[in-house]
Parts: sequence; C-alpha cells; structure tokens
Amino acid sequence: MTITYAEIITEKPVQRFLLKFYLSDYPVKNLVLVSPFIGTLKGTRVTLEGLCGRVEDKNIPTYVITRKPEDEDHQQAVDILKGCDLVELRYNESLHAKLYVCSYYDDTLSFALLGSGNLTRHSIEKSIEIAMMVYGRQYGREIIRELSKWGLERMRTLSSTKLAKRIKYVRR
Amino acid sequence: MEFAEWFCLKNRDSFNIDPKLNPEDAKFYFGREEIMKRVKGLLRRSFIDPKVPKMVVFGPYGCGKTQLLYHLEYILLNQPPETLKLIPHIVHLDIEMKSKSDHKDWHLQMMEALGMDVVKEWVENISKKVGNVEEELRVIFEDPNVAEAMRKLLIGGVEYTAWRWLCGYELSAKDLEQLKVTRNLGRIGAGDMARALISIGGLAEKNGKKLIYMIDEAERFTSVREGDETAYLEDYLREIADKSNSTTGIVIAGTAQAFEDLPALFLSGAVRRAGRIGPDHYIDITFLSSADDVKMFLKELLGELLDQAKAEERIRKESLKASLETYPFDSESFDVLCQYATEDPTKALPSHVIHCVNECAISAWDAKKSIIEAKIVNDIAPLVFG
Repeated sequence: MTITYAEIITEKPVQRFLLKFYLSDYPVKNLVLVSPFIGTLKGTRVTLEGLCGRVEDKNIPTYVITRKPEDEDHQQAVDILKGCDLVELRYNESLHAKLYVCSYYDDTLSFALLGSGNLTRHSIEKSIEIAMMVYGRQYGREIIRELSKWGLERMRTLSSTKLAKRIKYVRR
Repeated sequence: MEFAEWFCLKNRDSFNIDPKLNPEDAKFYFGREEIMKRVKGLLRRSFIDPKVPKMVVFGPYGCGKTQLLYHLEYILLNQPPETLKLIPHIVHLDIEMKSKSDHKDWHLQMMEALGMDVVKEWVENISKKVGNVEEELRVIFEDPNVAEAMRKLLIGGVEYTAWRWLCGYELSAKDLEQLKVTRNLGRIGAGDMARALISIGGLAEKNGKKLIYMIDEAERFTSVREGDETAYLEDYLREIADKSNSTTGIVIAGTAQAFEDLPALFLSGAVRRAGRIGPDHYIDITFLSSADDVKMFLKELLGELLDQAKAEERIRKESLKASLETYPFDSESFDVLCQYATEDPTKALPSHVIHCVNECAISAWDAKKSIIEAKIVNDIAPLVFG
C-alpha cells in the first residue's frame, strides 16, 4: 500500500504546518502547539498575531506548552498568546519536544507535525530542520490521536508543567 | 503526586475514554441502559437467524457510536449471547470513501482490514485437517475461481498475486493465467466481490470463527457522487445484507443527526427490507436528553474510572465535602455540570461530558484542589458546551 499518511518535510516544516492550519476552512476541534521556544514570527508568512486572530475568529481552543521566556522575542510571543482568550499557556522547563497538532471534528482532515523545529522565525528561516507531517488518513489517524493525547493530557498534567494562562470563555 | 493519583484514577492517566488507544476502555458504555438492552437483544436474535448481526448505528457526532462498536466487540468476546456458538473474529474498519469510490474500494478495505495473514492461516488450518484441500475449498467457495485463489495463498511465489486477486485488483492476463482463474474478481458486478467476502466468512466458520465487521465513519459514503458508483456500493451492501448471508456480520456506524441524514445506500428500500437490514436493526443513539440522563452517565463514569476504595479514603482523610458517588465533584459542582450539559440539547453528548470532566479535573489539578468546585465548572463548562 502506498503510504499517504506521513510525509517527511525538510523545507520550513513549521511554516508548512502553520500555513496548512491557516488556510483550512473546516471546523477545527483544537490546536496543540508544543515548542520549547516560541517567537512572534514577524517577517514570516504566518505571524503569531495572525495565528491568534484565526484562533479567535474560528473559536478554536488552543493549547501552548513552552518554556518560560528568557529572550525578548519569546516574551513578546508569550504576551501575544496571553492576550488571546482561547489560548491556554503552560510552561515546562524540561521541554525539548516539538509537536504541533491540528485536530478537526472530521478527523480525516487532522494533521500533526513532529520534528526538530521550534515555533520561531529563526527555525523557519535559518535552521536546518526536519519533521514528519502526519495526516488523518489510514494509520495516520491513530498516530495523530496518540500525539494529540500526549499534548492535551500527558504534557498538561505533568507536575513539572505549570499553568501560565487559562482559556477564557467569551460568549459569542 | 501525579494527576492520576491525585484523582484516584484506576489504571489510567485521564478521564478520557478511547478504546482505539486503550483497548481496556472497550468495556465501558455508560448510562445507556435502554440502547444496550436493545442491542443485546438484537445480537442474541441475530445469531439464531440469519446467524450473523447486520445493523446500522447512527447518531450525532460524539454520541458514542465508536464506543458502541468497541463495546459490542467486548461483549461478543467476554459476555457472548448463548446463541453465538462460534468464537467471534471482529474486524474494525474506519471506512474511507471519495467521490469516485465504488464497491472495489469498499471490498479492498474490507479485505485489507481482515488481513492476508488471517485468511492464509484459515486456509492452512483447513489444509491440515482434510486430505484434499482443493475439494474442501471448492465446497466452501462455490465460485471455483475464489477457491483456486484461496489455494494459491498457500503457494509461495503466487501468494501475493492471489491475495491481490481476492482484494479485487485488476490483474493482467498473465497473472490470471498463473493463478489459473478465468477472470478478475468483480468483473461480473459488485455482488461477485461481496459473495467472495461472504464465503470467507464461511471459511472462518470452518475454523470455528464468526466473522463480524465493525465499520465506522459510514457518513463518508456521502462523499461518493450519485450515479454508477452509488449503485455499485448499494449492490455490494445489499448482497452482504441479504438473508442468504449467514457467515459475515456487519455493524455499520455513521454520523447522522436523523435517519434521513444517513448516506443514501442505507436508506434504500432494498437494503432496509426485512430479511436484510430490517428497520429494527437501525439503532439511533440520541443525545443525553435530560439532566437525569447526564447524572446517570456521570455517576457510572466516575464509578468505573476511579478506584473507589482510594477515593473513599481520600474523602475521609481530607474530610472532603463530596460523596463517593460524585467525587471528585461536590454535589453543587456535579449539579452545575449536569445543568450545563443539558442547556443546549444538541450539545448534550457523552464526548462533551467526558471532555468537560477531564478539563475540570485539569483545572482543579492546576489549582491543587482536591475537589472540583462549582467555580471551576462555571469556568470550563461554557467552553465545552457553549
């Protein structure tokens, strides 16, 4: 059988994930972003502000796990996320994994990116990165379920993961 | 202390239930006594006549269709009705359909989900039991071509070609000659393929197994364009649904708000006719319509997922204001959650309730609270049910 549920991406994998999320019009169940370092992504094709706008427009609960910010870009990114009602933000100082999961109500549309890239402009524009994009087809669905569970349950409930901002419900 | 320990969870790391990730979760089907009673009755009767279940399960997204399919497997394997005399061989399949998909795509997925190794093992077992395997296969498989392809599964060098033929791939004249079959499978219609599958159910019976497919995501049949493709799919289903099929069971589940929203092939009079998938065999899973339904669902969920002895000890030691029945919620937060769940009837779904319980628990865990208080439910529930 041809494997259509996974693809190795070497060209700006994180940006590819963000664009795929940004350009889709189907209802998204939730978004999970796990990255030790995050930035404002200013100067790239999808900025963090743009992403937050999309999250608010489409009413998408978004779960971000990162380290406590130490540089200015990371701090600015955290400030942007804190300004977004639908974002939950957590810190974990041992975090090294990079995982991005976009789960749709129709899980055949879901996709996840697991690889080396941080959610930063440096990662998108300068670093050599590699990642595996998994699609909600064939065995891919089960893989995405596992990855999503890891991000949504395991990572969020570790004793070493600290809540920085919870999702705020606003009736629309 | 870890999250699971904090809430006295029993051998699990969250309140979420997913039998696809954790097969142990298949034993749960909370708060749906009426549905289970009906399904169990249908199962029991199915194994008397037509000797296999043929059912369609439908309901809104998140109502528990997938859970029901896995729970049915659990029941068939662990608490089988007395009418089931063979060992069930359950095959799960999340069907995938596109606009141009037809019976060939369906058949291929059915065969791949069953697996070449399983079918080969069944044929091997027959060959060990009888002197003349060729003759025995001809008895099981009325179609001599299918019997020949089955026999070739045991012959190195052509086994994969034989499997591809059985899956319905279009083979070259040279491959057909090598297999010693006169045509490609499905050449004379969708029924040709369906009958091959049904006869594999017959092979399973000779191995002491009852072949039952649990087909999920059936709403994807709506992606298929109207026309020949739909007609072929209907032919395939009609053949499997037919009373004459007593060897290969099908339980099909799909998202549909109402019966009329099911894909057209399930609404076809030819399929719904008594003796095929009769009207009684369409199971409608509804919302948890009243607060009492949600309460029942929640109490059963908490009762099963939590270690009751540990929870009782925790309540006593910390003098928590919660009963064992509602722990880790207190009585107020429990009622608040049930109210939120039924505020909008279209959101009163098991998946939402479970999601809300888990999110409330994570929130209480963040605040290092032993009990989920009403304030937490008031913060979380609108996000889930709003």
